[in-house]
Amino acid sequence: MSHRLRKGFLVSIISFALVVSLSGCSLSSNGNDKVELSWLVRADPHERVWENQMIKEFEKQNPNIDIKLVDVPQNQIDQKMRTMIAGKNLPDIVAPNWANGGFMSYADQLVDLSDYVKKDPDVIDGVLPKALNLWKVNGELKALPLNTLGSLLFYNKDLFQKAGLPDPPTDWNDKSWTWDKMVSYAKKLTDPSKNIYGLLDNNDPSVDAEMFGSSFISDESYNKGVLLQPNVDDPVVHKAVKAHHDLIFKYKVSPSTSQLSAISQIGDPFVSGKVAMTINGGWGLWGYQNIEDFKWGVAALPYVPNRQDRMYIDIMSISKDSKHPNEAWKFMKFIYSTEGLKSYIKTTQGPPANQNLMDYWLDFESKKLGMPADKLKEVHEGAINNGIEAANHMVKDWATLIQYINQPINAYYGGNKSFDDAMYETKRLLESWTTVKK
Amino acid sequence: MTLSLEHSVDTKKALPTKKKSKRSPKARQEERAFWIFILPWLIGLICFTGGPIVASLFLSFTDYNIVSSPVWVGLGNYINLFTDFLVMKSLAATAYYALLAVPFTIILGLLLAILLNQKVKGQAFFRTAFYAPSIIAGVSVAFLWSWLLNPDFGVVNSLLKQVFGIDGPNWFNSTHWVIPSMALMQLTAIGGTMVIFLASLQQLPKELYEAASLDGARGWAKFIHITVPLISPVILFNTIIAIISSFQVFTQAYVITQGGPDWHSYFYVYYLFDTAFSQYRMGYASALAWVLFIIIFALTMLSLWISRRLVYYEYDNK
Repeated sequence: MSHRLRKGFLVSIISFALVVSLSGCSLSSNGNDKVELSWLVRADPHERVWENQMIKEFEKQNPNIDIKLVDVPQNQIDQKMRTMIAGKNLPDIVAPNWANGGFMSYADQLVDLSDYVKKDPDVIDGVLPKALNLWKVNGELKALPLNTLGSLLFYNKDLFQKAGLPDPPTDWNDKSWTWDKMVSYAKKLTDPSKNIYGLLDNNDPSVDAEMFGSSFISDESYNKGVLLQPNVDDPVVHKAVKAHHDLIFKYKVSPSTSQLSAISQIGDPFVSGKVAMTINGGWGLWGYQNIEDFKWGVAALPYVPNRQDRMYIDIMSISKDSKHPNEAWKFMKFIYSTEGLKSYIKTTQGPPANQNLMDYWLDFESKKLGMPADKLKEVHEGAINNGIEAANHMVKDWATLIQYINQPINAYYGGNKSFDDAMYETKRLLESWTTVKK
Repeated sequence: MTLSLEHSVDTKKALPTKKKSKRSPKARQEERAFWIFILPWLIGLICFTGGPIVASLFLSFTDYNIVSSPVWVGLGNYINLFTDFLVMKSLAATAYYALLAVPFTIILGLLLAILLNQKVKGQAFFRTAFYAPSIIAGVSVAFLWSWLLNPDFGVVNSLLKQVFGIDGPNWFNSTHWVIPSMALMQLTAIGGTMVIFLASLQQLPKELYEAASLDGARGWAKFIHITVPLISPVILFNTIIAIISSFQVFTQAYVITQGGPDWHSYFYVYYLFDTAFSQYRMGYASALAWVLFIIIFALTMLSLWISRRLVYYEYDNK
């Protein structure tokens, strides 16, 4: 190769490398003063439709702002967010509750929205205070709620009819609908010859404890968002765990851990008609809509003194790494506008946190479900009024803590461990976590 | 003293001649080509393997959660390992798995290789058929086994009931059966071991067997006194590889049991994974990784030491 040719070759290579590296850089502002915002979302096909609609409409109204979706499968969001935080490039808009770590793990990475909300109070006009105040940390508002979901009892109407049982109530204040009554229904609905179980309590032990009015962790831990003290010795926690165990071994109306794992291999046991009643998150309202083999209904959880059902709220926040928080807020305002939320309801069916849109949701959803709007309102509102926000959103390291609760207690539910051993081990593991440096 | 002086004199004498020796342009060109071709691999080794190994050693002496800077804790992480309930649980689960899976893999791999070494019709088909499952992705194989060993709908329990009239166990859902079930899954992973055994069997000299036949030796005697000693280095190699992969077992537990029931399939690497990517305690996870390295290294050394009198190396006698 001649000297001249070699020089030319070298120049071409360097130029090419420069072009590639410069074009690879993600500039948040380009030469035309166009701002690019990034929005971290979970790879959900229904939500994706809404997200695309939002982006399209917003960009049309704001030609100087581009929105880039950072689409990550939900179970990988935690890792992605951690590495992005380490690289100081967390997307401008994030939904911390879509990460397994939950809101509390990321609260210090989020912008205080208080001033923005003061300037644009319409954004939170009508938002349920209970759903809004959860995201205030040391007086700083770190997120806005998008939807509110509680836990509900879903039941197979056909099996109820066959067993000659009346529909369970949608009224959460109906104190005649007790745990014992639910068990008596479950007994009548259980049919061993057809492998049908009366009830599936989909809750993990921590949710069972809440349903009976207590928790595996102290109130102080929940309020401060970090495990300070386990509450495993509380008699109410014991009662909740034993009640679940009794469903399997004493009354034989629920599948054991192994039976559940077996019947789940052919799909959701409620959808396949293998269980007559199931306690699940409110997403069952749209998750069960495709069931064609039988009619189903939705009811309140049974009455237990101090009952709490688990609430799940999706939120949106602006990250501290954002170089364009004002533009990000502009987009947040757009998402939380009446039109934005209506579009959200239509594409995802999620009940809004904003009560101004509740009638819109009830009208839309009741038609979808073929259920009277007043009944849907009653069951949904009861779930929210009795609800406590999910511990995985409110307590740091919940993924680890729930593993410490689930492993021993599921062993008890599976008949592989005694009650005392399971509770002792849970307590020991949770206590060990309080001393771990994180 | 004299020797070293002589040596230094010799070196001095040798230097000028070395300087004078010029390699041909072709040799230099070849050397340059060597470095150019090996460069991507070297960069990969230094950046993506060597770098992380050194970094993990450093991190194992720190508290590091990715988001904040590492904080030096000295031997703290290593000391905590000794009192960690889950380290003990996961090590016990892993050791039990290795105890079942290693002999199972070696014995079955060898038996299969012997069978596939027979000159029968359709030999190529059988070889392919038995090797094929080992190239399927681990997650798919795990799902397949979770169906096969499903206590209610699985083929295995149905066969046990219909053919032998016995109720099959709860397999992955039983604390007693979960590890044997996972060892049984090795049935679809022995292809690699089998191929290595098969290759070694094909190298065995026929004259030894002919001589043994003349002396009246029969099948079993030939196997024990000729085949086993001659392939003993391969048995050792496969054993060491099986020990290493047994201590790195992860996928099946992650996919099928999530470490349950009651931590009985919570393998050491699963705990390491959780510590690193669920709890983000990278320092502690690095310490766990280094301890795993030491355990595997020690077991490999132990295997080599034990094998000194058991393995026959042909070249020693040449």
